[in-house]
This record gives sequence, C-alpha cells and structure tokens, in this order.
Amino acid sequence: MQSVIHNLTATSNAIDTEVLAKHRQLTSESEAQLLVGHELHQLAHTRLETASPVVREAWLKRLFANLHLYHLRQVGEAAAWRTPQITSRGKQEAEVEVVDILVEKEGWERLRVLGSGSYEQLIHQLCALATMGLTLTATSDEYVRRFCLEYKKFANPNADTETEQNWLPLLLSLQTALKASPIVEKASRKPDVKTAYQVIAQPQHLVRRPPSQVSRERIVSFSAVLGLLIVCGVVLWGGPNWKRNEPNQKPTLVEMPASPTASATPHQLPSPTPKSKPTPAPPAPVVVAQEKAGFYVIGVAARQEASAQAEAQMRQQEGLSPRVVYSSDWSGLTPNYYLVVYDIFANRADTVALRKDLEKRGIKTYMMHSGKRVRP
Amino acid sequence: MSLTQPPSKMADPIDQYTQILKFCQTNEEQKPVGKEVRTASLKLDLRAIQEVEAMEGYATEEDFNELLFVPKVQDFLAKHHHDTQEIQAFWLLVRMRYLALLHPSQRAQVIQMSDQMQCKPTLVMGEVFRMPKVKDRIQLLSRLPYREVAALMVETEQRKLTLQADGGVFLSSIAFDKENSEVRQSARRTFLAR
Repeated sequence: MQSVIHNLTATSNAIDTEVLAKHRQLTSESEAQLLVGHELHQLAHTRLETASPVVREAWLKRLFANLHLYHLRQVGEAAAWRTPQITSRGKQEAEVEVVDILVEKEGWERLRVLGSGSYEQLIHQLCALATMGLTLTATSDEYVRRFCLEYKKFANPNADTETEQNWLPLLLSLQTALKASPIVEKASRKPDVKTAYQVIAQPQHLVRRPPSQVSRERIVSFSAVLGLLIVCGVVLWGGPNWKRNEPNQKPTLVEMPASPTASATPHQLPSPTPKSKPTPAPPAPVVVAQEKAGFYVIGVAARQEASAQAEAQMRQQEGLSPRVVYSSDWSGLTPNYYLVVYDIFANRADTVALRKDLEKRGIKTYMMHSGKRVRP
Repeated sequence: MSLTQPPSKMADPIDQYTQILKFCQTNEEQKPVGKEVRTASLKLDLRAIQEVEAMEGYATEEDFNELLFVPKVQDFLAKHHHDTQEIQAFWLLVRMRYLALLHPSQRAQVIQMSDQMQCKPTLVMGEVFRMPKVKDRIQLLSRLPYREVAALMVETEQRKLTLQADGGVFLSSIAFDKENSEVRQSARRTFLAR
C-alpha cells in the first residue's frame, strides 16, 4: 500500500476533477443516491483479504470518490470549495486531523468525514492511523494516548515498511463501517446501475456479486430458455389450428414474448383457443441498435440485456422511442452494459431539453459521449 | 537538561495549578461543550505535542521556560483585545512549555483530562487575578484547555481587562457588573475567600 504515496497530489487532483464532473452531471438527488449506493454496495462486498496491493489501492480510490461525491451532494459545490485543502504541513496536519474522524461515534459518520476532504488528506490520515497501528474503530482517547507515547513513529524513516501489515486491518475496518451504513443497506434493495467512474473504474473481476443476485440471474436465464421452448412449441403445435380458427389474425412477431423474463410466466402467452379474447400485444423487442457517435442521453444501464429491453419496452408503451445500445461497442462508454438510450446528439447543449422533458416524466437520465465505435 | 531525560520534579500533571482549577469546574449547570469546540481544542493539544516533539532533542528545559517571555506572549498579556489567532498562538506557546516538562504518558493523561474539563469562566477569572505574579497566571492558563482560555478571554475583554491587570482592578470591574449579579457575587466570593 505504500504506492499510494507516489504522485499523491496529482492522483488526488485527478480524482477531485472526476468527482466534480460526475457531481455536475447528476441531475437529481435520487439519481445520485442510487449511483453512490450501488457503488458503495459493490465496495462493501469486495474481497480485500486476498486482493493485491494494487487492487486495494483501486478500492480505496473508488471508496473515496464515492464518499466525496456523497459529500458534494450533501453540502453543495460552493461549500465544498470552502473546506480547507491540504497545505504544506499536509502530513503533520493530517496526523492531527485524525481526531476529526475519531470523535464521531458511528462508522458511517467517520467515513463521511473521510470523504469530506481531498484524497490526499484521506491518505495522510489513514497513514497516521496505520502508523499508530489503529483502525477506524479506535477511540479518540486511544489515538491521543498513542500519539503522545509513540510520536517518534511518525518521524521514523522506515515507518512505511514497518506499518505495511497495519493497512489490511485498517481497510477492513473501513469496509465494515461501509457495510453497516444505511446507504449500503438501502442500495442492496435497488436494481443494477452502471458504474460511476471512468478513470478509477474498478475492473470487473474485483466485484464480487452477492450470491443471491447470481442465483437469481441463473433462475432468470433458465426460465428464459424454458419460456422460449414453450413458445416455440405453442407456435408449432397450436399455430396452424389458431390460424384456422382466426383467419383474419396474422401471427406476427408481436406474439413472441418481449423478453426472456416475460416468457417466464406462461399464463401471459396468447391462448390458442378461438373463444378466448386475444391478449393485448406486447411491444416489439427493442433491437440492439447500430448507432452513431455523439452525446448519449442514457436512462438505465444494466448488466442484463433483458433488463434493458424490459425498461426500453416499458418506455415505448409510454410513447417514447428509446433504443438499447451495447456499451462495449463504444470507446467512451464503460464496457459490458446494455444502455437504454433515449437519443443521441452531436452537441452536449442539445441534450438538455430532452433530459428536462424526461425528468418531468420521472425518468432519470445521464449523459455521456460515446467516443468512437470500437466494434462493427 | 535535555528533555529526552526523565522529567524534573516540577513536572507533575497534578500540581498546585490543577488543584486550583478544580474549584472552577462545573458539572451539570453548564450546557455541554459542542463537539466542534471540543475537537478544535483537542487538535490544538496535538499541535502542541507536535511542536514539542520537533524541539526535543536540542531544546533544554530553559529553552521551554523562555517560551513564556517571547514577545508574542508578553504582547498578549498587555492587550485588551485578542483575535482567535492570537489566542491560539499564545495558548500554544504556554501549553508547549507545560507539556514539554511532562513524560509522554503524563501528556496523554493531561490532554484527556483537559478534554473532559469544563469550567465557569468567571471563576477561572477570579483565580487568575487572585495571583499576584503574572508568571503564575500563565502557569494556571497553561493547565486549561484551549476552549476554556478562549472563553476566559471573552470575559476579560468584556470587562476591559488585560491579563496583567491588578487584582483590585478586577474587583472593581466586577463590582460594576450589574447585568449579571450571580456572576459578580460568585467571582467576588472566590476572590475573597482565598
């Protein structure tokens, strides 16, 4: 973890810039809470014990970015700028400022204090705790006692090496505080949301999804296959009879289930019996489109194509015309997501009107530039 | 004497000054100290430790004693009005002198005791001005946490007193404190009873 010190100021500035950009991009509080909650939920379930130092550092950066974004949303941009930034006394200042964290009683409150400064401050404060062999669960009395008794450790040139083993317990204490936070508990009940950051985006292999989510996805996939088989069977077996009995009704694609998820409920299938009323046709599946480059107005980003399709179809029924775009096709978008895109614009300013209109309808959106197409 | 050696006899965290301050402490009467004020005070104590540690190794006991005679301290004693920065700088210097003479474990004990301490500024003022020597007054102030010194300075400023003022001047100032008779009587009682 000693690499966190290298280029610390530059890294800190880069993270600050990105978080600020994200803050300005977010249009509503609920969108911000959803985003931060999802990110923190992922961080709370990352396996740090077996992770390499590089992975731990990435985890810490992402944690800070989300805590800082949360802070910005709470206090506003202007107030955040008034927060005293790191000075030339940086490291020494941080050794003292650890008290600001430890006077808070709750773990989540302590994390919030950590997120209120800069990344550089956070690293110096965590370094001070690690040097004293303490974690985020320490009391301020305990810190003061060690500060007085073991102050020489701060000046020890080999302190970095000697405190290396203190970092894991410290990071685990941050994670424990995160798990107990209300925002993470709330986020565990929310749907899948796209990751918030580009520069500090976490590699996919770092994210350990909760077992319940994995099993749920497996059930959905199995149901989807089963549903398709039933539909094919119905069409092949019952199709001709149906056609015979209903000569004016053409079998169309509309009769196909809109998504694998929808097919999981057989009672929704159109009945082949002529006496029964034809059920209202579900909307046509939204095809993964080949789109142009530009500023995308994105509603939902989902890991599963079915989720994105379901959302897009729901919006179609409301009279909108969204399309589903696969993010890996574009260099500017975080890969492996299915995005529900409402429109694409050549200029950033043109997105504003649409986003406002969608927000009035209760649809949260964000805007990103697609970059270049990377796959045909 | 280098401060890396064991502290001298006078370095006792429970000395005559801390005993005096016991008379000034309140319990349930006063409203609890705000977290921010308390944290700021605690942080200044850690700053004082940092400064002391930075001086240790080359500074002697005499060097620390001289902190009480630097112009910043002397000017402070002679002034009626002090801004926050001046109070902090003054308190930091006198506190450094006090903490420097203590063993590290005693420093921790003193800081933790100070964190819990809650005094009535008027009673502290009575004790301060009862002392004829300014040096003793400074010693007494160095046993107080920063927040209590700041509160005391507000009181002295209201009464247009300097920390060098004579005991009689203090008495006459409280005699005309018509707005708060309880404070006046309490301070006078403290002053005369000793």
